[in-house]
Amino acid sequence: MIKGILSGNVALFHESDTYIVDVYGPAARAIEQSQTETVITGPHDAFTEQANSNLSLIRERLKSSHLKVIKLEVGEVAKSNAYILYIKDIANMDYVNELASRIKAMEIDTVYDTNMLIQCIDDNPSSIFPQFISTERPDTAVSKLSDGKVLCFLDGSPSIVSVPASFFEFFTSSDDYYQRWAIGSATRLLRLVAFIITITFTAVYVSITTFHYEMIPEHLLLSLTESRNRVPFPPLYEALLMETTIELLREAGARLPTKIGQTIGIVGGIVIGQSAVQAGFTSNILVIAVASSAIASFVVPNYVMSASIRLVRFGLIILAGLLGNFGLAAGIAAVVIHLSGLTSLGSSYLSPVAPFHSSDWKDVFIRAPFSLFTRRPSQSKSPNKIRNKMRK
Amino acid sequence: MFKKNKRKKLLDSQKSSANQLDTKPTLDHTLMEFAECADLTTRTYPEIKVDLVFFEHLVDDSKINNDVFIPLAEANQENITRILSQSQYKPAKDSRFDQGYLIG
Repeated sequence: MIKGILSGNVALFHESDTYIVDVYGPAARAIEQSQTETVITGPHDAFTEQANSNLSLIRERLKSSHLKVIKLEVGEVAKSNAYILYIKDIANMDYVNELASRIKAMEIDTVYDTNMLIQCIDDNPSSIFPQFISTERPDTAVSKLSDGKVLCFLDGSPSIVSVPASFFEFFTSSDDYYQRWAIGSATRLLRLVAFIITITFTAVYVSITTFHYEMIPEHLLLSLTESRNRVPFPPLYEALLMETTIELLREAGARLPTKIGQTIGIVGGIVIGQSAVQAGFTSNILVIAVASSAIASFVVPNYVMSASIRLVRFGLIILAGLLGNFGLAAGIAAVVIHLSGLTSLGSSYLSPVAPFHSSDWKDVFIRAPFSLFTRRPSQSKSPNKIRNKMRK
Repeated sequence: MFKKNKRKKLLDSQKSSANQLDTKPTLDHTLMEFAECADLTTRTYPEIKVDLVFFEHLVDDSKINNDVFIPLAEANQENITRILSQSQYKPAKDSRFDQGYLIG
């Protein structure tokens, strides 16, 4: 009963009897547009901190009695409510049970956010890569459910996570599905190119200017030598200095109010960048490389993955500065090996590339026409693999 | 040494079980549990011997009006039992009270 009162119920005492009346309805933030997952076309509503509001946003879109919700208690002190959502007969019950058992087995005082919760239950807590994909968009959440994925969220958090997650899922956006398939496919390929630019562009610059001048075409070599002529630092220090400055600007921009954040971006990007080149602190070609890498990292739709990639970039820059192209190749190989070893709720993180499932490629590197989406992703291990059919 | 500790733990658990059996979902127990909670709201209806305990900031104004305040305002000694038999009033039990039974 104490818990009932804390959950927004009224306790009614009459003589020796006690009653509980459910009148829960605290002040809540209105449903607004997502700040982290904006789309050009498609629905703009986003989840809020209220579990009931989030459930209603999903139920509005998924009017099916097969949509099931499990409620669990998390946190020894806070006793927050965690919810697991799945579509019966589409989701694999092994995933549902595994997720529920991991949440139940958690030993923690308080959990405030879904992104905090998943760090306590993911397969590889020491990895920098997120193994659960989080979203603030109800349309994305519903599409994951219909793919046979299992959703989980915490009351008080606007993020919902879906499991099992694949590395390539982090490069998809709802916008891909709301545009013509060719445009959606081109955008998705662009994001994968952006990922490669983010992790390698600056590292390649450092590697080439430190060890492999012979790789630079002759006419470019002259302008590069000219631009590096006044720079007193070796390329590795120069790159780390600029990358750190960009990260400082990004962090400052993210923490400040929007208008001040924009000003910081302009001051940092234009004024400091230009002044650094003029003062001979850095070469203008490195400024282009660092700026391109930074812009490319923001093309990745998932913020958590974007942050992980930026951190990997620093490691690759250091390896490239110490060992040249060999170091860069070894670093990339180490990242690929690490990714191959990761699992998300026991399922391979690199699915459908490893293990290879060609039928799933229609929604990985490209976004094929909807008429070709006949099967659910193999990673879901759905008992109902064929789409558009519901067992009675 | 091990046996001594085990015995002490057993005695402690028996003591706490006994305490739990004493715990009932009463008004006094609830107010004691929420002592020093300045945000707790209590309302009393002496004529019908009803007391309400809730957190105002956690409840929906219209729901509490329609489901609790209005029915209780219209209640009297004769019809209070009938009103409390409505489906929105769910008989409460303290989880620790249940636990007390479960552990004997």
